[in-house]
Amino acid sequence: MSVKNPLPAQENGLEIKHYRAGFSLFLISQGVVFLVLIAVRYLIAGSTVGPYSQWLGAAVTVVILWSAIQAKRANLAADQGNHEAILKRLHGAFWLGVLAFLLVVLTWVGVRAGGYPVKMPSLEVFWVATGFWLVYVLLGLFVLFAARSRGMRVGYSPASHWDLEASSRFWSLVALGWVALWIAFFLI
Amino acid sequence: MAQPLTKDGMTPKPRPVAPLPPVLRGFLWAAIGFIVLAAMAAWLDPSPVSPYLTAVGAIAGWFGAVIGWLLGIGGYEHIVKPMMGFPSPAVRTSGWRRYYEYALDHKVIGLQYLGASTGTFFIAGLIAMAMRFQLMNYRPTLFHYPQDYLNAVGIHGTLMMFTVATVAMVGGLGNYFVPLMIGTRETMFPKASGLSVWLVPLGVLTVAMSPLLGQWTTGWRGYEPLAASDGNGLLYYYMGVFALTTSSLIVAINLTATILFKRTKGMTWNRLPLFAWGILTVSLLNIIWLPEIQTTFILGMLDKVMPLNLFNVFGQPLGYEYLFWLFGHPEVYIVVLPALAIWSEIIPVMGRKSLFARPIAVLGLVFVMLLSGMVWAHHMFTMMRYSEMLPFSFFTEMISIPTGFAYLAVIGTLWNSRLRLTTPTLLVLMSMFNFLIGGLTGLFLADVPANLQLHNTFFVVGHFHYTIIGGMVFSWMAAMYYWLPKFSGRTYSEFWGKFGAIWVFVAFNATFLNFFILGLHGMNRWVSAYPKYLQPENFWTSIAAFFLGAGFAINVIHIVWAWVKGPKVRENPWDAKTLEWRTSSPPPTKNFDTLPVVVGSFYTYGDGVPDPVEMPVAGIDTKDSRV
Amino acid sequence: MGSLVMFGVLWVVGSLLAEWGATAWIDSAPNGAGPYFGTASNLGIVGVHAFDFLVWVAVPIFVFVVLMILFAMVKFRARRSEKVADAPSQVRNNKVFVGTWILISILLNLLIWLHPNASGLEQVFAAQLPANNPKPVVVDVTARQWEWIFSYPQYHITQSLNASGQDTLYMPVNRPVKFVLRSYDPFHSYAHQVDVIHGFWIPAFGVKLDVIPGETRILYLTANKLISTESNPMARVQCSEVCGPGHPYMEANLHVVTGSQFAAWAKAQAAHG
Repeated sequence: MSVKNPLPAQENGLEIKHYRAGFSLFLISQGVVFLVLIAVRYLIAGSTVGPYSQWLGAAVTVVILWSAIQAKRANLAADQGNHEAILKRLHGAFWLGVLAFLLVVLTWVGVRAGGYPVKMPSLEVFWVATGFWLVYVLLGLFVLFAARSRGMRVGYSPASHWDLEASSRFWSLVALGWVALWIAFFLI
Repeated sequence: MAQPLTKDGMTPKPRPVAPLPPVLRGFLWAAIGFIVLAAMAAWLDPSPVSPYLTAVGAIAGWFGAVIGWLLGIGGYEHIVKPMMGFPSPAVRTSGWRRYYEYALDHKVIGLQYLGASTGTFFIAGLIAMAMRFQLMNYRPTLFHYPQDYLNAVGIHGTLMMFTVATVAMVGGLGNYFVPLMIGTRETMFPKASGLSVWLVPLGVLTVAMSPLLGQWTTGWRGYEPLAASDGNGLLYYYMGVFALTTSSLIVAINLTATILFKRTKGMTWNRLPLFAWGILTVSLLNIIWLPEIQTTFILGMLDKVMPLNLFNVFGQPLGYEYLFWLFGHPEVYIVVLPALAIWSEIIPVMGRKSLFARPIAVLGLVFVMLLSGMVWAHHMFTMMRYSEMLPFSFFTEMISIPTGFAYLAVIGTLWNSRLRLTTPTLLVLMSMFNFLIGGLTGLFLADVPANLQLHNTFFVVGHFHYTIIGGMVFSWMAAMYYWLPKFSGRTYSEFWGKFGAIWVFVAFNATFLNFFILGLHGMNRWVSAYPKYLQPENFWTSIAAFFLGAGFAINVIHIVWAWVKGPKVRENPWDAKTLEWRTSSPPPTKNFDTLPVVVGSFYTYGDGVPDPVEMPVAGIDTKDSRV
Repeated sequence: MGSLVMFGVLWVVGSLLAEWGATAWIDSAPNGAGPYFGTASNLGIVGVHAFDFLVWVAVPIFVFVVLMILFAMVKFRARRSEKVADAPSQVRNNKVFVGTWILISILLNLLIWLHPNASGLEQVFAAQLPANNPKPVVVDVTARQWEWIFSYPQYHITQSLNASGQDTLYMPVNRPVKFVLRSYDPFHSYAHQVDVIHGFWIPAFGVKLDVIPGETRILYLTANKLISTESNPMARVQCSEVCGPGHPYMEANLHVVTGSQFAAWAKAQAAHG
């Protein structure tokens, strides 16, 4: 699919650099959220690791990183103008994201099934932090969905795919956010 | 970049003829969103006492209302659908209706912010009047129960901080003037900016109506562990402030990116106007600290609604206070930095004298920004360990050094100037006087042994009203009078302007100087009833406060009159040099016909100083920032 | 140059006059308590010394800026009739002035951090050492929503009440008192939601300490004056941290009495139960 009336490439390049930097301000601001969650984790529960499944935690980490890589590769495909690959990668990223979401919910179910008291300090901070993360996943899934739907409707060109890039950057933040939470909640 | 909105390369669709005005549609969709999500929550998590609306449902419904409101106001056509690849519709660019719709023009958005701030200033101001009326008597009169009064205190503080103090000069004047002052036609993220402003009325409404869900008594902090035993209205305090801070966060990101990347040719960092520096430093603070407090508020909300034990006796009873004040102190510099910047903007123009020690003035703003995150715990001297007292009192006292740089620059500029004593000048000088008292009383509060007596008394209340009203509101008024010709092409009456300024100044000092005496005399905060011996002082303080309220009304009426009916004035009535005066008043939609090129400093005066701006001949578009 | 000399003279004279006025204000009550500062305890004396010293420091700064504002309004004012023109002097920097300003502001801040802040804190910390408070009267203070409960374990008083059944704090003068501060509700110990932060404040003593749920905090105080709520309304126990609807009413009476009066009172209280 071709893009109607694309902007001159060089013009676009400079603009994109600015958009990228401006967008990273937003990503930095959202990084603060994860910092606070991790700080609260140590403030409330010390370094106690709660009774949540280590296996599921590791699985979420693998799945979400894989998903983020797919989104990144969709962006790379857009750089090369490979339209089919964009849609395929976005599709993969989206469903892997859904899988990560479900795995976190499964972790919750597992803890509840284990019969642990809901208000254990190490669990309280776990509910809260993973709950925050699930909200980010929902936002990210919407953004990936929008990027894909835009790709089908308008298409991306090597010169003009900022929407796709922004989506993949946001999705990377979500993935990195999980990795940070995973390290703080599951490992140390 | 004349057509930034069509980055996908498509011509905009014609503006759709809406069956409902956007504001009404927003309300309707918000109501639908609320009902759907509240009902879902009530179904999933039923409460035995209230089948239709539960605490969880109120939260879920609120998020539904936010989504409905933002989509209804224009987010649906202008953001969501274009994200999916549908073409963006055009926005209204003329007529009064554009102020009640989704807009992309930073000037319209700025005025929307200003309008929302001014309106809220009045709501919260009326609450203050009611509080002062109550305090005329030592026993309950107007507020029959202390929780009524405490809830009023909380709403007054919350609205004043999050909708007036942090919004009027950043979202309002910043959005309006920063792009003009740095010579660009638009901001970096106009679409997000157009939507963010509509979070303000929503947040104000949420906070102001929160007592309907149950009264809360925590003041503007909403602090745990007290929050746990407060009414559910506190949930809407958390949510309302969440909306308001989200709005400010978007403003911060947008204006930072704009200042970084949209400066016109020749607008180097050494030439960047002081006000833009002020907004830049504030925005960096906002980008770091607003997400911090938003996370804290969501944690507080969850702690209350689940309920969890994060911030009570089983968790960390002081945890919420730590997290709150970690944001809370940068917040006051978020409030005051643009005010300090405005002083250096107005005084050189009015004194016809070069700004003294400009690098020092800029460094002052930057160092206040850097230090502001290191002083916060002085709000907790009576709670903290002894070992923490010395470092925090150290940083607290040190921050007065960069704050003093603002005075250094202005005083150096005033010396041997040829000062035109106009209303904006007068207001800046008054602001300097008031903020000085605010700062000097800060010395007493930063001193731990004295703080152990002054903490949580009216001395503190006096201190921060001197910094916020005295520093920010007076400077805001100065900026409004100074830029009035820019907004409307009309000017104010010098007599009524000075009359209003002097009125407010006298009434303000008569009110808040008394607060220091009251505090020393044993009047503590957050009380609607107090020992009888304090009544006479409180009575006269209240009388002065009513005069203060009337004074603000006089100024607003005068400004509105001047805006609409004031005498017409030439385009650059102050002979100022900054770029916002290099276009017509009010500025056209695209700000400049040709983008100006900066070749010198805006703050250098004197014989033979060349014009700092070159206007390229029409037709040769210089594009935007290529510094 | 003329302006400079004139400003300097006015500043010195103005500061001296203002310092004289401030001193008169400070000394209008014993112990430098002119500005209503509570000085009826050892910690209050530390606080008031800090307060008074800071008044003296603040006065010349205040006079400097205010005089500058007035000077600008009078001396540097452009006449309304004259045409708008740039100021004749366009000094954009003055290394001596800027350097002096920065140096003085740094030194002044260091000074007030060291004295009265650090020096005062040293006294406060010393006053909190158990070794410096021999044979204290121990008062267990329980803050609940919304009441102060005082008990004296040494005297077997579980809750000290006056004739009308209100909580009352009795203290002997010139003898250390050890306040053990806790925040919980002994009558509803199952309801942890009502455990909130309170502020233990006696305005006449010039000191306060917050009471945190789950923590036990100790405050040593020595009252140095015979006062009571009846004679001086600043002599009262007042909650200073907002703690819910009852916060304004969370106060208790205070009586600082002589040692023998205190012993008699304790005996009578203990007999009551």
